[in-house]
Amino acid sequence: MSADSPQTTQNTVLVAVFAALIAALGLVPPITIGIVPVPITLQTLGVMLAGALLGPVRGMLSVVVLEVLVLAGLPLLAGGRGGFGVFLGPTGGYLIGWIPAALVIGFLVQHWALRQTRPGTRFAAALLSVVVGGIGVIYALGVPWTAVVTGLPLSTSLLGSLVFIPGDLLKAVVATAVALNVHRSYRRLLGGVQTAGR
Amino acid sequence: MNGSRPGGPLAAVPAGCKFGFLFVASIVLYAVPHVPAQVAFFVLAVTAVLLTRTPLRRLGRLLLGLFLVVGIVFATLVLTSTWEAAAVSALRLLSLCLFAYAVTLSTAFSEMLALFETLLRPTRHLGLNSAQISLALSMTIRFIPEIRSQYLAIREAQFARGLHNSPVAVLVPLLVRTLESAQEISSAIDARCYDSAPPARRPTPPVSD
Amino acid sequence: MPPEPANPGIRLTGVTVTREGTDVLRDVDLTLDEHRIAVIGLNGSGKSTLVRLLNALVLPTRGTVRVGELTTAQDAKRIRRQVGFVFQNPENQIVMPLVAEDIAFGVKNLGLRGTELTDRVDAVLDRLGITHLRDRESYTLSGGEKQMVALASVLVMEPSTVVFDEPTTMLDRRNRRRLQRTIDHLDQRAIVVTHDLEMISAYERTLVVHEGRIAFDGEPAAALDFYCRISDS
Repeated sequence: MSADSPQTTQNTVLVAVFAALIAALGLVPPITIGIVPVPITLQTLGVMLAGALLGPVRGMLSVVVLEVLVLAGLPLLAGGRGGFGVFLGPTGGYLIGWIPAALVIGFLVQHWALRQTRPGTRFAAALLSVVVGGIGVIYALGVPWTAVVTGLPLSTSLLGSLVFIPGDLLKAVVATAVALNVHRSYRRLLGGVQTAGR
Repeated sequence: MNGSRPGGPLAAVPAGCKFGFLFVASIVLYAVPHVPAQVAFFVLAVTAVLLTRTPLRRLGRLLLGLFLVVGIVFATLVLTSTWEAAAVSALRLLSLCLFAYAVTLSTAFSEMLALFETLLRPTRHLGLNSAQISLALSMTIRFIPEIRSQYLAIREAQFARGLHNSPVAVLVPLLVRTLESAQEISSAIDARCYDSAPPARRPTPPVSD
Repeated sequence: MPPEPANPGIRLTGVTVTREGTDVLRDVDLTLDEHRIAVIGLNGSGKSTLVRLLNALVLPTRGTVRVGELTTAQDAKRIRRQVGFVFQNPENQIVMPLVAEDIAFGVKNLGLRGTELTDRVDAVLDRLGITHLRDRESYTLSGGEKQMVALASVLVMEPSTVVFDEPTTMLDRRNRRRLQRTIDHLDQRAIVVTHDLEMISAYERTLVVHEGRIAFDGEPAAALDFYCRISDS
């Protein structure tokens, strides 16, 4: 539409506003979803949305931008945490895991889930993408990290992390519903998105 | 947002040195699994944090979660393994995190950011440009409070409509609005002569008129 | 008084803008060199697109837009130094966390650094009477303050023309009048898109955009008559 490289500026802006969105979701009051009695923070939901809406590269970059700010000391993680300490601490692996998580979600959603033409199949594929990236990848880094840093056996670390699975599954469902809904009104977001009947 | 200005003697140490120290410390702490050495490191780490002159209440808030996790780890390891192993693990974890907090608490945010921008400079060979990275970092800080207040406003509106527990009903409008703003923001940036791919540090020629 | 000779006119020749198969603007020929020009029209008439053509935010599908000797299709960057743009929602125009940083952003893009940069920022803050906002965090500003900062961030680049796209829509009556007075006192040429008909009564020329064409071009009073007729039909 505009001259020069509007695409580049727009991508920089999208990366920044999604980094801001992930941070903002960690700073709003936690909510209760459905049957899970414990209030949960929405920050990983933000990571899932960044991947599912911006695709692999921009999604991942927005997580990187947020984490650079956290590393530099801004208290942008849920509960107002920030600084080097959170990365080196027992749960640092989960944070590092956010980066490949957004990449994997973005890749699967863009190249697989959004190509499904039947709404039911598309929802299932998108949900699976979000679960693989947003839970699988994050835990694959987080669980061993905790074990290494604390010296606990891997099995204990894994057992401890299971408590968070139900909440994360609910976030994946919400992220999928939101992402597909938004993609319907913003088809240009991930180039070449095919929509049934159009 | 940028927190209080860091004080204490550590604030005078360049960020690069502290960052390097942290890197070395994280290796040494794992290389020496002996209780006396770990106790020495722990004392050093506590001293470092105290040197930042951070109010104790703020420290308590920062470290509460960490102490909780370390406590659980220590108890589990005492039960399943030797108490030496438990002590080494717990002390190592505490020292590492305390050193890390000492670095963060004694370094101004802007100084830290400048360090990262230097460290990220080699990425320009990968096609990322540092002007774009710093713009993205600044814009993120700018828009966090904006998006947060929008979220709260939309949630209030949904409450008023009786949608009490529907994150989807809040997030969809929030994202649509955010994406719409993104378009306008990038037009506004272009309109202010932003060069998304600037040539290597060449001053722009003056307009001839 | 207006620096007329140094201020090149803007000329649109046979401009058509097509978006998703429909013409948003059709065959527009215009020369804009008055000091104060108003653009009015119904929602969706094409007036926003018209003004976005003037600094290359939108490029014509057919035809050319010239600012002096430059055309928007080729010289976007140089044209943007001459034609500043103030958006409807200042929220989206302020991109830096601190007011001073935001005003400096555009000047930095022009290649200025050091004291030259800070002097320019301070001068524009002083001129608009908002020096007290200099070190504020952008998100803490009120709507009226945000619009003044957005205007400062454009004026600091010393354009010869400033385009305003419905600048008063988000403001209360008091801030609207304040912005209006500020625009009235600008040395630059101002091209103002607005629904605020009170604002433009003293302008030299008023364009009414209707269904993608310039339906009226002339005196404000006659333009308002015409506009009221098409709005009610």
